Amino acid sequence: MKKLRILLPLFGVLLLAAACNRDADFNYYYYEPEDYALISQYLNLPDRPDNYQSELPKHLSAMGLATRPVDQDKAILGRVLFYDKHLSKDGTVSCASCHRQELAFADDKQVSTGVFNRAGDRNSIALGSVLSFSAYYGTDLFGSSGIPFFWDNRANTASDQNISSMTNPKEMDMTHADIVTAVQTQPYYEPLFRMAFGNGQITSERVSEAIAEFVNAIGSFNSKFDHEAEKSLGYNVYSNLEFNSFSGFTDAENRGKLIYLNNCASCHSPTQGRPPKIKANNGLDAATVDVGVGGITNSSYDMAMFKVPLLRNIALTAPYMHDGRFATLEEVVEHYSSGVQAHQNLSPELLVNGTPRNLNLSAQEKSDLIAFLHTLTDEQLKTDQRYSDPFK
Amino acid sequence: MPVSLHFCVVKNEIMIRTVYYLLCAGVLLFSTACTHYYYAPNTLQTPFLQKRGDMRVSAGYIAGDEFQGLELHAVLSPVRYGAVMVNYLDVRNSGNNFSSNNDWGKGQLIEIGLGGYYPATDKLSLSLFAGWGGGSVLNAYDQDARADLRFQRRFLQPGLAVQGRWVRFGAALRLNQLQYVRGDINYAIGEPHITTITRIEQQSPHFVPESAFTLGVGTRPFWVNMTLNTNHKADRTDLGFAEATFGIALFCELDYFWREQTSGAASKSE
Repeated sequence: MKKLRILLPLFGVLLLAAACNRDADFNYYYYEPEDYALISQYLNLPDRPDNYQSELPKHLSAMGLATRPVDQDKAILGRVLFYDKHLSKDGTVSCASCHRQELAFADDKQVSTGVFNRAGDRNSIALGSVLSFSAYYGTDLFGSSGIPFFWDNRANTASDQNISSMTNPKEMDMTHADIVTAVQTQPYYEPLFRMAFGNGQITSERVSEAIAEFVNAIGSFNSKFDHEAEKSLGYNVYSNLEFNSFSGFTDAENRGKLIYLNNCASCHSPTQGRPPKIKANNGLDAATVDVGVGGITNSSYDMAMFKVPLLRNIALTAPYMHDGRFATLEEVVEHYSSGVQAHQNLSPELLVNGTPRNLNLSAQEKSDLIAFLHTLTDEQLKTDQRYSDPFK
Repeated sequence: MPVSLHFCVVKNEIMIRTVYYLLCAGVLLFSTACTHYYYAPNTLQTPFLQKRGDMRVSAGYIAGDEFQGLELHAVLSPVRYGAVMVNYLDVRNSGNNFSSNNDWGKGQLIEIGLGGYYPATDKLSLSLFAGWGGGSVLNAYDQDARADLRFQRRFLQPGLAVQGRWVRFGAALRLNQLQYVRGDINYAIGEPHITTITRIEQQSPHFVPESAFTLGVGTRPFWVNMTLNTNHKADRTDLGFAEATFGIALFCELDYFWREQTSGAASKSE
């Protein structure tokens, strides 16, 4: 027993010594190892899933705007599909060919080039940030209806939009069956579909849904304007926006902000949250050249009317207008300053006593307005890894 | 004791909860908002040891909010004033607040403690144990995603036990150093679980002070013990640690039998 009395405490010391601290060895994984090994042969996807859930800055959330919940798995799959050229007839075009990240997901061509070098009909619309105008934006001041896609507003959802582009002969020229076949032949899709949908079944509807999830998740809220607006406005969005200068803005930018608020914001949104109007004629031509929304609704009141885009990242998205006729912001400003044409459907905001209202801006004012428009650029969006090309 | 399980957040005052647990004797609180959690205190042994050869075992039911399980305790005094204890726990989720069959959790722990005791009177025994153990917590979530955590725990446990003819009482503190040593976590479990587990990893080892109060009724050699264990770690909620567990166990003084036989044989030989 005496031995035990000695051995017992000794045993205790040994036990505690054996339990000495060691670092936690936590292994976080997302894909099964064999899946990730396969995926990694083709794609640069992180082993930790990207977070596509955006948080709106205060000047937008104060308006009642809210982001929708994003399905991360579908957004990841959508990102791959968005950049995959296998989804075009000749294997040369992906969604990203006409929606380039470095251009805020617009194109720098007047009209984009589709498969077999076919020219499109209209200028490619910037997709950053679709989150701001998608039909899925959620509850906001304007009710539950969303803002449709395309210059002629013919697609109600991002899903409708992307399937329309994939099957457009001038863009990707695929059939639904072609889409399924193209995806099925790529080995990296099976695990991605399984993650996104619970099984590896591939359908054109799922392809479209995943791309829409990605596109709808593209958020761009890191412009100089956003930072200043959030800092300055608090929750008194409208009054402070107009009457307060932003401390982080230059004098020119603040002057340009006032010009914008007084002349442009009624259509393009004072907060860059959501355009108040979804369609307008902005006096580009006196006669109807492109019927625009009228071609969809067949209403004479919609002839030559087009989507009113948000101006986020506008400095990145040249050329401008539905037909890409203006190569620079200077040309755009000049149009509103002196070039507004009379048209039967000309927007009331551009009318004075029934005649076109030209802003007649001075050179300084034009420069100031352009300086302000540059504050809407989100440099982070251009290189945000979550939205980048995942292919090796 | 690490338990995965849905922990329904009920912010009652400790006293209210204490009374509630004791009165309800295992009937669990029930609420609507649930989450997984990654640690919960097992029942602290508060043995009433008097002399060499004392040996007690117990088997019982342990429960917390939305989890329950089995617990086994044993303690032996092989030498005067010296004792060895062994504890085992196995718990699983319970209740109906689960979003699917893929959403569940379970945990196990086994530990050994060495220590000393001092029989201050024939009704009061003081003890101090130090021990080490290890276990696992496995949580499963929707999407069939899982988080499997392994941990080690060292503890220092001062306690006292008072035993009368029909009633016994025990109280103990347990100062734990909880070290998570390994984890396999699928990111698909999503938030807020990833943030919670990352916090657990980054802050490990954790100092976790716990207390327990035991009330036993019966008489030698059988007792029914009810124990309330409380986790006093300040940021336990942020870490997904359970606040309290309740245990009810059948407790047996095994030494009673062979001492009866020995004393019986001795009296016969006399």
